[in-house]
Amino acid sequence: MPTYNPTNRAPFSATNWSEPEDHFSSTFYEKYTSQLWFPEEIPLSNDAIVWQTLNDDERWTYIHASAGLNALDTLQGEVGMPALRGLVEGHIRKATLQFQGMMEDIHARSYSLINRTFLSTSEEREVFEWVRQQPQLQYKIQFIQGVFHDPDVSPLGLWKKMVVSCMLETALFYSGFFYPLYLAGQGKMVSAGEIFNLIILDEAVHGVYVALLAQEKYASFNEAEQAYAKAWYNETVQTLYRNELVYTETLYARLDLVAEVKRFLRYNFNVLADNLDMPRAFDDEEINPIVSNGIRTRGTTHDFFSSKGSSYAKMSVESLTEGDFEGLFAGDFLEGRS
Amino acid sequence: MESWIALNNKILSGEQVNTAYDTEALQAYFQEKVNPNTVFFHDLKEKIRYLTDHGVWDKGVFDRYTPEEVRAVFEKAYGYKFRFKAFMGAFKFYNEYATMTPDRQRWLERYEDRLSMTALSRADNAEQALELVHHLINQTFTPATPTLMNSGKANTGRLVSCFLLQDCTDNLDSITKTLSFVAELSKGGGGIGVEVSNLRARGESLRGIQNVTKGVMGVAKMLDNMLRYADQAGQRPGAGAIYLSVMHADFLDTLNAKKIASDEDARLKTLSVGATIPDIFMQKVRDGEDIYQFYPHSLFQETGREFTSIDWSKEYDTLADNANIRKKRVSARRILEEIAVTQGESGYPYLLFEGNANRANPIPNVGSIKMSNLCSEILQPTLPSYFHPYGQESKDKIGLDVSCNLASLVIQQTMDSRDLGRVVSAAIRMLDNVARSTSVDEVPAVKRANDEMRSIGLGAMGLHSYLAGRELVYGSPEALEFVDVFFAAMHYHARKTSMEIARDTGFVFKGFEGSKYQSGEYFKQYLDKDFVPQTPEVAQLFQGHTLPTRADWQQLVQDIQTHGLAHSFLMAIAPTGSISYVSHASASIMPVTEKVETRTSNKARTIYPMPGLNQDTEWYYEEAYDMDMRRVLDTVATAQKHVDQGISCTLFIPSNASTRTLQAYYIYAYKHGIKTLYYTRLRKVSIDECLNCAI
Repeated sequence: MPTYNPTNRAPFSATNWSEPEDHFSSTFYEKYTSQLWFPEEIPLSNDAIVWQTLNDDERWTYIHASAGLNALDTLQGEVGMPALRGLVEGHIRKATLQFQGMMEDIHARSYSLINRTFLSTSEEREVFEWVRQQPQLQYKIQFIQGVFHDPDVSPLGLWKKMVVSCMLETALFYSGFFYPLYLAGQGKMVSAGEIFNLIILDEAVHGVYVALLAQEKYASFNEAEQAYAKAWYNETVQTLYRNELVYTETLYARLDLVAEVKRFLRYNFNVLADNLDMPRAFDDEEINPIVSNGIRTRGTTHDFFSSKGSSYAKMSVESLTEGDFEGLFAGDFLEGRS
Repeated sequence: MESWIALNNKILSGEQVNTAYDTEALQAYFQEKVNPNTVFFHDLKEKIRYLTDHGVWDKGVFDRYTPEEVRAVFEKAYGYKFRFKAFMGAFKFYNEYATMTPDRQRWLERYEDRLSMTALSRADNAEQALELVHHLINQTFTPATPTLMNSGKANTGRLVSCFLLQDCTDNLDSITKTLSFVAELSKGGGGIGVEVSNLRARGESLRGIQNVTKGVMGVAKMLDNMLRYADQAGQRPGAGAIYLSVMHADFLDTLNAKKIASDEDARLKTLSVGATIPDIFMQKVRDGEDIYQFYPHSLFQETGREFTSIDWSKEYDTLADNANIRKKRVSARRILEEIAVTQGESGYPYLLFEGNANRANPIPNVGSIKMSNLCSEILQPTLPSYFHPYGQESKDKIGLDVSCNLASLVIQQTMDSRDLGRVVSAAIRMLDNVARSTSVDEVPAVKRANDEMRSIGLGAMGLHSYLAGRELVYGSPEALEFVDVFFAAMHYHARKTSMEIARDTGFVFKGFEGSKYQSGEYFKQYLDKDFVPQTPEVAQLFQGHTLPTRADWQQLVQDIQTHGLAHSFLMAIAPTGSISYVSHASASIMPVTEKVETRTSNKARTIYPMPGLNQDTEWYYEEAYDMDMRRVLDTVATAQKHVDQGISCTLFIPSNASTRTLQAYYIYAYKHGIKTLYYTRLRKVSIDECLNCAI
């Protein structure tokens, strides 16, 4: 029988989940898929009345923070994750990154739904136009896009792409996250706040996963490469941090929160450094306790009927066996549990 | 940023939990917020005049007492020098219960004022009011939120907030009537259970045209929307649950509506779903057999019987064999698994084991138990209503719904009082007053039930915090023994008080005649054995309390036969949310979910260390998600023996458990006589825990 193999490529293999490529990817895949969610599940319109009570400045910051995040998540979903997925080896790793990429698109849609719920069509257009014109936001996007599009696909080139991906997830989103967390902690915009919580949960897992891949790459570098990488990292952090300071001034100037947000940025850049096993760029500082409790990724307790809670998860399905049924009805419990 | 919120949030922001910040937050809250923002009155007289003139307090309350009697109640209240023990308690109370000026900028009432008004309005004379204010201030028991919030107010909302409706019968007039009842109750903040098993299924015939009906989901979607619409002027979205039998042909459809990935048009966003499960279904699960699910309209056409009037244990085989009744065949185990899968995704449905509930039904002469409420602790017989078009109301048939008036003993404070009987008696008398003061004229079958049955539900809260303070392990043999003795004694005093009210007022609930109360059958366990402590540890806890003996019960059973009872039902253990914070108790009889709770509401994110948590007791505050749920089910099963209605029982499962475990708990609960399971809560395994498992 003739075989069709015009390019003489290695034969294409299937994903074998029974023989994992590493000790963590399938765990991340399971964790990530178990927390799958859609923005339609959260009754955003519950916040409509609170929205009316916010003043113009508060609304402005809320909406523009979300719109900026929308652009960044669109970038991750459309450019960042496909780039990583294309270059990373291993079916399970690719699958995990692809799922994360899909969630980025869902996040972008969530921000858009928030806009749609609270804004008129013309206000919406204005905000989207603002995204296109805002210099620091566009600078940040172009800088990162440049790294993703960089034709250098050597291990070092791939590492850089991973690093900027983590930087988005772990640090650059947080100028936008601050305000929704700050309000939700005071009981305002609680449903939208839940969406932000779910996104933050996703981004936390995402940031840790890609950082593990990056650490693995970094460990494979020789000394000279590592020195170069570290220098590039420090410079990138400083460049984007400075840009972020200006962005923060623009976004929060009207609310007298600039100093708090900046502290929060530095805190998150330090988390990024820890995840990547890079040196911290900033000193430890105390961050706003309300916001700090908002990013704790453990479940929270909710008024039973008011919201869904970030402790939401999907359970795995496993049937009772014939033996289980017999035992249970005879008054025993499941074997292997005490 | 408010300083007390910031201080309270600091509890968790360091490396270790620091509860000292809670005390600081509490002080800051009173010094900077409550005290400077409370309207000042020179004396009580001025306060009463101002508040009655401004339509805040109900003048009628003061007409029933002399000024000296009123003063005595307020003075007694202030004399206790009550202090909140946690920021969360004070914050909840002053945000949700204490009356404010209409612009919500300043307080008109302090804690003592609110409870004095509750005591005056819920008592029938000065002596009772003084007794009641003693219990309320010291929090030996706490009334449910609507009673605590609305008592004694002029422009008052209802004192009751929980209703069960069996008005949604199988015709358009009954359906639309039910929607209007739900809107009416929901706008006053009610939580509403609606029985829907009598509705014809999807694809049945309508006026003889085959295959056209929209089934239960069509009605459920309308209820879902209505509850969100009628939201107490935006204060809080309405809340409701439908109860549907697993024997109904639409059961799986409705279950799927709670799955998160469902089509938006088919999803029930906020409406809760309860599944009623008859014994026959559990038998088929045990035997691994298929079961038939029935089409109610076809069933009605063939037999003339309503779906909810069927006794499945007796009639299933005959109906299953009848070829003229439309039905579908499914594996019972498959359905149980679907229930577990849906619970694993959404927490719903609630489960109501009909067999267990009805075997313990004291008034089968009135009817069978077919449904429960939003929190699955109310279990009483209901009878369906039938409504007709405008102009033909005279043909309406008014059935029997339920309104439930609730209060909860605070176990710690009740035990500290050394007089459990006194506490229970005061609580029952207060609830009796709530029932007598309530008349929900808008919903005739609710009004009828309240007038005729006068049912009430006294529960308890703070079990876990009490046990932890006594260094007892939740769910341990000693803890179960405590629960057994406590609830048996509570039952005795509750029933005795109900008998006394019947004896002294002549009011006996309708249906006492022919009930298992009258025959004494309902009290058999208390005549067979004494529910007194067996171990010295537990005996010590009850020191100073007089516990009822077999002889006491014998006397009571006789007295009940002579005088009757004033209430069809007396007890139910509700989940307790806000009132357990105010009363410094862990919720209900469930284990704590977190040693330090992070709570998000429409007011703020607040941090709440469990009552009594400190370095010495910390070990006893085991978190529910880390427990084998059999310890919870054993606790509930033990209390359930003494509770005439139900117990809100939540399953707490870590998300790495599977539906196999969940189903095993269902069967365990069923086998142990538990009547209902409230929803299932999952805790996400954090990524650290995930990695720990993986490496």
